[in-house]
Amino acid sequence: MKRADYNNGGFGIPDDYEKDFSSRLKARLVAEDELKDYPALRQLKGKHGMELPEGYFENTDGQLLLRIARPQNDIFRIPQDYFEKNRKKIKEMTLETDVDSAGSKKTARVIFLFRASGAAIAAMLLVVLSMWMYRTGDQGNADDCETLACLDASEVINSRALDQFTEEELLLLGAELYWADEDVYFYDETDDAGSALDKRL
Amino acid sequence: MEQIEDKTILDLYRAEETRDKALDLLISKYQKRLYWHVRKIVISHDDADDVLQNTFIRIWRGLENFREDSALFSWMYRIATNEALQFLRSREKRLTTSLDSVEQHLSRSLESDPYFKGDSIQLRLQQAILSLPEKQRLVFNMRYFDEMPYAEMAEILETSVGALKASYHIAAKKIEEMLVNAI
Repeated sequence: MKRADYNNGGFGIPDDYEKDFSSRLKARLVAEDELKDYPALRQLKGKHGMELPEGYFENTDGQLLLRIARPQNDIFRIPQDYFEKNRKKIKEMTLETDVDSAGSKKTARVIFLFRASGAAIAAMLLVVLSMWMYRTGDQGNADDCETLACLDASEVINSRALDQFTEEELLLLGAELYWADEDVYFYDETDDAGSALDKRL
Repeated sequence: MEQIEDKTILDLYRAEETRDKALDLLISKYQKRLYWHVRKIVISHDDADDVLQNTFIRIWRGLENFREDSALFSWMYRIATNEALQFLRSREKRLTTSLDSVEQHLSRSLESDPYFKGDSIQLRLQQAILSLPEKQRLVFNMRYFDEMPYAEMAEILETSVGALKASYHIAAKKIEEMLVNAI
């Protein structure tokens, strides 16, 4: 309510303005008086430095209303007692045993998930075992080997029993060393196998 | 807009057909005051915006049970205060891996806040306020910035006037010392 009871050019003021004004002024004076011992705070009074995005309060009105306002009508409807009926239906569907129309009980069918995977694992083991046997089969005869081909050339040389070999065997050893050597070794075509072995030894 | 009395808003709320109008008036009348109250607690504008929305939702849902044994404004202020403090506590839980308290975190983030335009002294003032215990911080903000009468504060914070005065003076003394040392 406003009144314009004195010559004020038509401007009105709220009903309790005068009373409010004096009480607000007194409160302010008291608040300022409280800071008389704190000059730094007194100097900074009313300055908090915080700002707002432009037009924040104008936009907030609408946002708040949208978030808070209750919907005028329920757009989506559900049948009466839907949740109650649905609860019963779901409960029936998820029961461990079903009672059929004749009243006899059907036991739940148990599906072993590991049956199929067990067969796959067994097949895989079989393949791995076969491969292992195939790869290690030749090594099983190594002890029976009685020729130089079964021995590594370096093993033969390291045995320091060269004088026990025939010349032909020594030439074969030399040729093997030559071809196995990774170092650059220029083979002279004029050399025979014997001179190559001499160079190497 | 002419200031609508709380009683009018409550009357509009109680009538089903004018309820939405009541919400409109409630927001228009109180959003600024509540915003600034919340902003001084949570510091960041974005956080204040979230808290303000949650506050109004809570107010609106609780208005039915508002018994009018306190002023509507005090009741709303209390809800806003609780929402803001609750927000800070949930923020603190998320900062469990950090050694910082939520106040230290806020204090640092203030320096890069695009909506804080205070000078170095105002920044120091806010950081000093953030270093206060929770209750002293609330009391100081309500009294120093909002010049809220102690009687109203007592109703909102459910504390005696004497305790509030003591809290305010202790807080003011601490902050004054921090400001003087910083200059």
